Amino acid sequence: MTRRVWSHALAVLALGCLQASVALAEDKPADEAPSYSKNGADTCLNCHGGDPAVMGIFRTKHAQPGDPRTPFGHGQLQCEACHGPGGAHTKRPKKGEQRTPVVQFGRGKASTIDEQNPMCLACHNSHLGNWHVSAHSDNGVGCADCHQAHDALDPVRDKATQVDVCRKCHQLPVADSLLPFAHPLREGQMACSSCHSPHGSLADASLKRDTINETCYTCHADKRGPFLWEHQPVSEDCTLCHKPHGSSQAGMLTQRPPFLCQQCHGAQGHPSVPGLPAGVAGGSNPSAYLLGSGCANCHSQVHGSNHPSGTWLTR
Amino acid sequence: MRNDKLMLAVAMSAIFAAAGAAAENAAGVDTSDWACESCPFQKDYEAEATLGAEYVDEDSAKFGEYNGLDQKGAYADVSARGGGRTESGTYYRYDLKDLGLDTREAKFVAGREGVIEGKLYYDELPHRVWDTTATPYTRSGKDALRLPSDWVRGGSTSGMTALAGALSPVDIGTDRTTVGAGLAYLFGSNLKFFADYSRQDIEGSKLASANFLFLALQYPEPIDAAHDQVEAGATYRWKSGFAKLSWYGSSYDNSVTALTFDNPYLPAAPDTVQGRKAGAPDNKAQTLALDGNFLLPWWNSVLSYRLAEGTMDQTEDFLPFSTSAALNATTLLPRGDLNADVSTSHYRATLSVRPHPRLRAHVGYRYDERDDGTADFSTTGFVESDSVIGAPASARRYSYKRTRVDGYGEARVFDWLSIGAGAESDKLERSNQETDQTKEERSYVEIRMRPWGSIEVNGRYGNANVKAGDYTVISGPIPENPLLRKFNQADRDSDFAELRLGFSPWKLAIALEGSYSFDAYRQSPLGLVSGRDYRYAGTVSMPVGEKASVYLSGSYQNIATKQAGEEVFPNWSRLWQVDHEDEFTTAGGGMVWKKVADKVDVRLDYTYARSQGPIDAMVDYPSSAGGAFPKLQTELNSVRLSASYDVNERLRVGAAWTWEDYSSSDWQIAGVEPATLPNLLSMSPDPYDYSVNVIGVSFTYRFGPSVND
Repeated sequence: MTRRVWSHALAVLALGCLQASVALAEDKPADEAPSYSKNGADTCLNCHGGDPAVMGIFRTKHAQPGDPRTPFGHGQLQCEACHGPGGAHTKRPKKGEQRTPVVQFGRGKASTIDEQNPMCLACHNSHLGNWHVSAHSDNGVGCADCHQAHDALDPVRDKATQVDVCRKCHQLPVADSLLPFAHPLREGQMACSSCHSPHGSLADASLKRDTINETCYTCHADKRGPFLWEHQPVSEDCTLCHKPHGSSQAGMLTQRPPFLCQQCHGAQGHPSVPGLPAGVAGGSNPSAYLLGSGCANCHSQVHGSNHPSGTWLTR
Repeated sequence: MRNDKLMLAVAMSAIFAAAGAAAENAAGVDTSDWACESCPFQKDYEAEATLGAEYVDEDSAKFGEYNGLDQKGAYADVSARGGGRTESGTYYRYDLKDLGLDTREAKFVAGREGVIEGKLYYDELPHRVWDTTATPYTRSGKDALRLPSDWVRGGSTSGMTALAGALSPVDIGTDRTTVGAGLAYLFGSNLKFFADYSRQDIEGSKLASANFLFLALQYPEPIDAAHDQVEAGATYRWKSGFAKLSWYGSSYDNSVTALTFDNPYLPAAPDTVQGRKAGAPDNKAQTLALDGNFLLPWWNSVLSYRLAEGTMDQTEDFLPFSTSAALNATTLLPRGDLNADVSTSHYRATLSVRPHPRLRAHVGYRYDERDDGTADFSTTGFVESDSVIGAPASARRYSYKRTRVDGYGEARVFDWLSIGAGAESDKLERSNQETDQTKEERSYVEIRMRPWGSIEVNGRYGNANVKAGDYTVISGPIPENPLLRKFNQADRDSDFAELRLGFSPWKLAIALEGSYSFDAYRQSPLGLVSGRDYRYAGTVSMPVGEKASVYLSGSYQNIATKQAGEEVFPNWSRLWQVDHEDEFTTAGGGMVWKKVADKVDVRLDYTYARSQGPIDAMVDYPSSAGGAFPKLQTELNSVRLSASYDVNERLRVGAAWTWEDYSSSDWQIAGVEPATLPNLLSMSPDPYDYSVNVIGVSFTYRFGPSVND
């Protein structure tokens, strides 16, 4: 099966190379450099100054005259630092022609993502060092798909509102926040970026830390150990037993005990006893192997034990 | 031609901007006449403050799980934010939220643009878990739980004749408080130093369990711990890349590293009237890392890398084997603490290339290692649950090395069609486990289309295969079933697919999303046999006139697993299988109506969520013992209506009403009273069930000018 996918992929890539070589031959460089506006932002605001959505930029980091790194720093290109040279845009178009556009940001705008993102990355490369290999980049996400650069309260940078931005594309994981047991995204007490780096990282799932476990330890350091008696999957990968986006099972477990435990443990004796309907309260044989916390009624130190008598994770 | 000009402008601007952040723009444009006279930069203090009240009409830990509104009664609604700035670029701002609630937070930031920034922050996070629990235990000091003096021990819970009179209600939950500070200093244009510190204090209790051999009990375990984290370093950026050197340190300090509790049962040995569990040990971890990238001069290539080395340490003093002096005397501790010594390594590098606007690819290498070099810990015996002497035992240390190589390439075949393919090889080498190595090979193809109009389609399909190699059951005092395979070390075949669709017919905006995955553990006679997960979701939104919009959304997921086992006792055995199916359905809708009569904003949201978890057990003999478990179900209905009215340019009045209804059925806790089971003294939590109304009114006042004045 893997071989088949690869053979298809190679065929597709070969086709892509062929098509791209044709396109390359067709692409011609422009023959003149574009010009900038006469008076910078003052020129722009003649037309756009009445729009509150535009003027919000003056309450953001981008519009700080005291910071020479920002578009509105001394000597900088102001609006045109991001929107590109606006000289042609400021000229009245000839009859029947459209006004020459500047770079426009956001999905559905005239500028493509390939035109938008380089404007941001030109200054923010050091902050977004892994953007080039991120899932967002791979999927053609534009910076302005998530960020409101003219809004001082950019919703994606506020943990209480960020999830609404992410939801636009990631409906399924955000729906998980409504599961009976979930991290507090719905309440705005955590954000997707509490764990993930939306600008990319070199870790799994664009996590902020090097591994899943090291990400979890930032809030759950009590699970880090190292313990005297370790539970092997715990030190390897928290998601072997937990679903971090939410679960129907308490503790955000993938399955409730005893069934979860019996996916790896079936030793002779009580670990091998099946959970059966007769074992529930009111059944013919109510069982502590099944009810309450199941196996964890006794083996409560499932994350590891530092007790010399914690061999079986009971102490 | 127009596109050519635009592309050139983009390229030039990007190059110029990347060339440096000097005071003069690198484009060489004379901006001496760009006075920005019409730019309304902030020069004065601007702020907004909210004062109001909320009323909650019912107690519910589940409703208040993370919002702190768990008690019936009135709450103050106090929030404020604001800031000031001078022409020289110095500034400060603050943000205070929910000061009257258990979710209160505060942040204060000050600095000088382009030079230095400092911040202080404070944040509280409640986690209310149970308010229907009861226990006979009372806390004595920080690390002991005591039964009443007139407690009557029993061989089982039915013999605890003083139980009913000893039970007291106790709430379970924690409060997490985070305080932090950060400082960033820009040395010139390219070098930045930064340092961040935070401390989390976690206090409260959790529902925990312990046992004396086959007799178990639940109790409210006190939690009192602190976690300090520091990250500091420097970032240097230059024209074609950056480098960041950083150090991360973490220290966990638990005030409850041991908990002693009275034995409610008749002791197995005369002096085992108490038990003692170890808490999470104090521990430390640190990581030194070098990150960066190079923007290479050909094919728009970027080489990103990360090199990180870390350690994890733990030297908490061991507890005695038991509370029983007699049992302790039977065996000796090999040493006084673990002196754990674990090192971690993470090396990553990824090269992305874009030789042509229509072609891009990246290849990556990742190496992760957890090397547990802790000295051997073996005992000639131990004390099992403060009751009897156990067999000799040796603590297994777990190490692993994980090496991954991946690649992805994409071609934009036509302007409307991109096709890509990727693959990954993932080798995980483990020590002291059933398999020495698992190797996963994964491959996939992707397609992105914009065939016409607003339609966007993204799809992915792939498969993966895990080869686990020889599986050797590790011998122990109780023999493991040789047919069972731990699923993370088992052979596995997987298929997965994803599809996203977005389009905007007429004024509608429609987004659909679906995914499917299937895992087959074909070589696992017992254990997890298969898992299947499919889910889909959709949202439709539409503007209504100039000022309003409506939306509908919904999702469904279905996760099914099969597992098999064999009940084994010395003289007989029987095979069994359990099928699980977790279904989850959500639906929602609402509307936003802004600036009605230029003064009123209205928002209405409805949310529905239902989870169901049928479980079906099958056994080969007697077959009548199997069958379906009682239904597991939760159902949430939530309505929130809010409105605000602009009294004038500075004052806004808001009102909100929330109704939320939640019901659940869970056979694992339903009907399990403290003495329902002979061998489990339960805290008897009830399945969650609430219907809560919250009403609130607030006044928001704006101080100072605004950008639109």
